[in-house]
Amino acid sequence: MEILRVENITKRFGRFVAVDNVSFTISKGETVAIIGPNGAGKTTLVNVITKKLEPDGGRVFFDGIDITRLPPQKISRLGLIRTFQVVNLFPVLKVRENLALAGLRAGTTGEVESVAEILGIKRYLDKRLVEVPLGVQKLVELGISLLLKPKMLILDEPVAGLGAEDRFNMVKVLLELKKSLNLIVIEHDMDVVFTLVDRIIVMDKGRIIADGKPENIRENKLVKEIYLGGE
Amino acid sequence: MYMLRRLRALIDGNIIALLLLIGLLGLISFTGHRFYMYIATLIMIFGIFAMGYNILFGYAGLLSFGHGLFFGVGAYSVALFTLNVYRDPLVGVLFSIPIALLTSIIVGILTLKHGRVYFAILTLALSMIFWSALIKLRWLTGGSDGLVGIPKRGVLVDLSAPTVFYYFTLVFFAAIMLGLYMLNKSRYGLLLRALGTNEDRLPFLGYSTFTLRMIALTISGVVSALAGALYAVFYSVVTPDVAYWTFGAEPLVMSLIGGSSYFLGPLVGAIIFVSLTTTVARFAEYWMLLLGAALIAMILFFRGGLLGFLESLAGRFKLGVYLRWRF
Repeated sequence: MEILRVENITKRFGRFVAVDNVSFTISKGETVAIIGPNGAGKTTLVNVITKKLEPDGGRVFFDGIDITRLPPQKISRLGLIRTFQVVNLFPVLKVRENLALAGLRAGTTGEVESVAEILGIKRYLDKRLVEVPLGVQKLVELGISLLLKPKMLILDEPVAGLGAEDRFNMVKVLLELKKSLNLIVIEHDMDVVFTLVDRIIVMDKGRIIADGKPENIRENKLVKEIYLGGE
Repeated sequence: MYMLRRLRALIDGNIIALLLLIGLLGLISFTGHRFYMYIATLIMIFGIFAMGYNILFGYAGLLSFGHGLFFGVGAYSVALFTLNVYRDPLVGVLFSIPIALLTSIIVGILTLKHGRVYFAILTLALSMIFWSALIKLRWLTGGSDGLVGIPKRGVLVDLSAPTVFYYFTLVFFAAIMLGLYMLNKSRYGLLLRALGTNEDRLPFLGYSTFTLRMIALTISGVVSALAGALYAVFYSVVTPDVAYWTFGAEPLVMSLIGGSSYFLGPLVGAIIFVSLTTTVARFAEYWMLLLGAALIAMILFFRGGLLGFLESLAGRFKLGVYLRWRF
């Protein structure tokens, strides 16, 4: 049973076509990675799906509802939640307050402490976000997403910029999450991708050039050529 | 135990300072000194105005050049109501609340869908339209002469004795300040601070920035109008000057002087501003020049205002913990 259907999505910036007639479907329970070289259109595609950007063409359905014309807050309320490539939160607020913002919206304020405990960031709760390390900030962003009770979570480069230990912690958390959540991960780190996902969509120059199981993508000649450097 | 924890979460340096100030203002009436009471009344009225303004500026991050509109709506509501409908200052002041609420919603619908720069310009334009209307609609507003004879003695209350009016203002001041403090501690306080910090992120958490901005504007508009209503009763006269954009920019100056990212910053700014304009202005011919120079120095060197400066000073002497009064 499908949870997300993307139909012929196109996004242009002037004459540059960032996303070119992209279509795919994701089933409930699937964990999917979208990979591709820089400028392939991955983040733009996610921005269009979550309505950070307006599409120039195509439609998006989430959990059976056409969300193409909905504003981002309505999409979020339907349970399609995203994180951002660069941590995009509320720097002068405390970690607890950042999490509470999600809790207040979804009626999960009582779960702030337990989510912080699960993510291993409880000792940072009373610090301002700007005072905590990047790894913790990324986990706060994930915590916010979880407190919003998502049906599907789109993570834009969740381990980018993290040290080895934070990266390990993040992957551990994500492996746990994939058991109960639909995940889409945009990621450059192939170890993380191959550890985490059931399916990989490969993009290049705004188009999907491959879509399949990780073992098939690893052997795909075109993917090797343009993305994995022909190894 | 739960109540005790809730109570502890509510108490911080801000509420202690606020209660001390309210107590001090209460004591001033016992001096019987007319000039002190005059300055204290102005401090309370402009303190309310500046604190109301800062809900929009300091919390929601929206710069308004049109708050003279709300102040003017409050002042003219009480004037028109008490002179034409029901001769009572208390009912008049209360009457200004629904009028200000309605005005805020209309202003919000016209301005809040646009970016921050457009919001600043649109609020300026709306306040100037209102100011022009006050001048032109002479049959209703008295034109540039304004409305005179706003009664202090009414059917329900008699505020003609200076001490009685002083306490009347103090009750409104205390109620509004405590209300704003509770707002600061509430979920809406947190949401408004988040709005000022990173409004682009909030829709992805499921919040409508338009709705949050509207909440900020209506609270700010109603509080500013209440300041205007008290001002009109205080002077028993109201002229279109209160709706002029330079008057509407005064709470911005007060917020910057005190520190717009501190809960009490605008109130501290109002104390300094009113004290200077009512004392220095009597002696120094060029006080506006002095004020301008002080403001430039403040913005260039003490961007956090006086409270920001004190916090950094306290931090240097490792006393920072006693001055964490940001909202």
